[in-house]
Amino acid sequence: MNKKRKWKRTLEPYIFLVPLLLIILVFLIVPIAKAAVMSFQYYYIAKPSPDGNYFVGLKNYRAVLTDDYFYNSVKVTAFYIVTTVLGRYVIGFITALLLNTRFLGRGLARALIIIPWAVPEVVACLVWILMYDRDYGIINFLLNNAGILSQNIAYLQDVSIALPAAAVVNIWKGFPFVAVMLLAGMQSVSSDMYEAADIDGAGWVQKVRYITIPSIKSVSGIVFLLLIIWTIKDYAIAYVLTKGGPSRATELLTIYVQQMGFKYFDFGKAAASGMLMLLVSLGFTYFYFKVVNRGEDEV
Amino acid sequence: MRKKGGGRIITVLLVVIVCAFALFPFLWMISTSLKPAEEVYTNTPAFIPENPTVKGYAEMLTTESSTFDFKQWAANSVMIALLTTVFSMIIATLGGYGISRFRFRGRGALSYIVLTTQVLPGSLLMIPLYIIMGNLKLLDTRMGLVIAYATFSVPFCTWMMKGFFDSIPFSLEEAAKVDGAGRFRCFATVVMPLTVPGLVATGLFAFINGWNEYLFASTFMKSYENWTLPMGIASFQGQYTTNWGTLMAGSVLVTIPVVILFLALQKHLVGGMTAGAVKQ
Repeated sequence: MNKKRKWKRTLEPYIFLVPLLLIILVFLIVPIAKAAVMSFQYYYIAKPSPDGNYFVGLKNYRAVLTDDYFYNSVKVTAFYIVTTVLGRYVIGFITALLLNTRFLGRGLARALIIIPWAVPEVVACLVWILMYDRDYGIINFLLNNAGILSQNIAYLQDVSIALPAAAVVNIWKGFPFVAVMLLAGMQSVSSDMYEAADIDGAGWVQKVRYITIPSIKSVSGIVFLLLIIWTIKDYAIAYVLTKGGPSRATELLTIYVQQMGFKYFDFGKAAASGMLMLLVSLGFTYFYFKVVNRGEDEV
Repeated sequence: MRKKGGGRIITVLLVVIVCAFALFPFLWMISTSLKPAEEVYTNTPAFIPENPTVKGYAEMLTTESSTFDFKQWAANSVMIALLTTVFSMIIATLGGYGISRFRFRGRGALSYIVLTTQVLPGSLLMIPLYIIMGNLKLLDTRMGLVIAYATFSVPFCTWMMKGFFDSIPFSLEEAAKVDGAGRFRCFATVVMPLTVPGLVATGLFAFINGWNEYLFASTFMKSYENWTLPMGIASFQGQYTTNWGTLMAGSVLVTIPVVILFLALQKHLVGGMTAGAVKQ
C-alpha cells in the first residue's frame, strides 16, 4: 500500500507533463534532429539520387559558406535586426512613458495603440504595399505635398530603399508589444515613489531617470532579447512585402533558408544554412536564460 | 506620473503622433475598402471616400470560383484557429501546472527545453516537418496545420500558464487536500477557476497565432478549398492588376475579428503576457 502510494507520487507529475513532452518531442525535437541529419545528406528533391539521401559530409555547409548570397542575407539580417529592434524599443519606450502619465483619454489611447499588434501580418503587409505604391500610394502623396519629395519613390522596388521600408512595417507592427510590456513594468512602481520625488522637488526628467528607468530594467532585458530572438527567425513581413527582392535586397537569412528549400528544393543545403542560423539564435538564448533566471528562484 | 503645464501639452501632442502612427494604416485599410476604383487609382488619394461603396465587401463574400471562395477559407480559418486554441490550452494548462507545482527529476531541463523551442526558426523546422507531415499524410490537410500551430503555440502558452499557477498560493490546494480531494480534483476544482484570466490570455494568444499565420499555411496547403484566410487574401494581390478596394475589404473582414478580440480581452492579455512571460 505504502509502496504503491510512493509510486503514484513519483509518477504524478509526469501524467500532467506527458502531452507537453510528446508534442515537443514529436514535432520539435525530432524535426530538428532530422534537419541536423539532413544537413549532412544529399537531399536534392528536384534531382533525387538513385542512391537515396546519402551522406556527403560537410559538403552542404561548405557550399553555403562559400555562397555570396548567404553572406548577403547575413548582412540583410543584421541590418534588419538592429534597425527593427532599436526602432521598436525606442518607439515602444516613448509610448510607454507617455501612457504612464495621466491625461484625458489615456484609457482609449492604451486600447488603440495595441491595434497594429492584432492586425494579421499578411494584412499589415498588404496595407503597407498599398501605402508604399509609387503612383497611388498615400506616402508619396503626403511627402510630395509636404515638399519633402520632388519625385515619387517606388519603395518596395528600389534596391536601396526596400529593406528600410520593410523595417518600418516591422517596427509599426511590433512596437505595441514593447510598449505594453514596458508600461506594465513602469506600473509596478507605487505612486508613493513619485510623490516622494515630487516632495524632494525632482523634475520630470529626474523622475524618469531615477525611478522609471530602473523600474523597467529586468523587463527591458527580457523584451530586448525576445525581440532579437524573434527577429532572427521572423520573415513573414519581408517575405510577403517583397519575397526577398528586389535583387535579394530583403533576403533575410530565414528567407534564404526557405527559398533554398521550397524554391530550389535543395533540402540538404537549406537544412545546413538553417542549422547555422539556429546556432546564432542559441547564442542569444543563452543570454535570455541568464536574464530570465535572475527573476526565477530556480529553473 | 503627474505632469503640469507645458509638459502636459507636449505629452498630449506626442500621444496624438504615436496614435496616428499606430492607427493610420488600419484606418487607411478601412477607408480604401469603401472606395470605388477611381478613388483608389488616383494621384490625390483622399482619406474619406467621396462616394463610399460596399461593392468590395459584396465581391469578397459572393464571388465563388474554382480558385476563390472566401466563405470556405473563413470556415477553414475559424476551425483551424479554434482547434489550435483547444489543443494548445489542454497541453499548456496541464504542462504549466506540472512545471509550476511539482519538483521532479528533469524539471530544470524541461524548463530550458520549453524556452529554447521559442528560438527554433520556422523556416528550418518547415523542411523536416514537410517530410514528416508528408509521411503522416498530413500535408495539405487542416489537421496538419492545427498540429503545426499547436506545436508552435504550446511552449509559450505553457510558460504563460506556469506563471499564472505560480501566482496562486499552494496553501489553497493543501487545504483542499486536507479535506480529502485528490491532486486532479484539486487542480480541476480549486486551481482552474482561479486561472480564468490566465486561460483567456493564453487562449487568445493561441487563437491569434492560428488565425494570423501565413508562412506554414502557404507551404503546406495546396488545394484551394483547404486554404486559410491569410493565404486567400494574399493570393489576391498581384495576381492580375490588384483590385485594392476589394482586397482591402477582404483585409478588413480578416482583421476585425482579431481586433475585437484584442480590444475586448486586452486586460487579460496584457496581464497574461506580463505575469507569464515576463516575471518581475
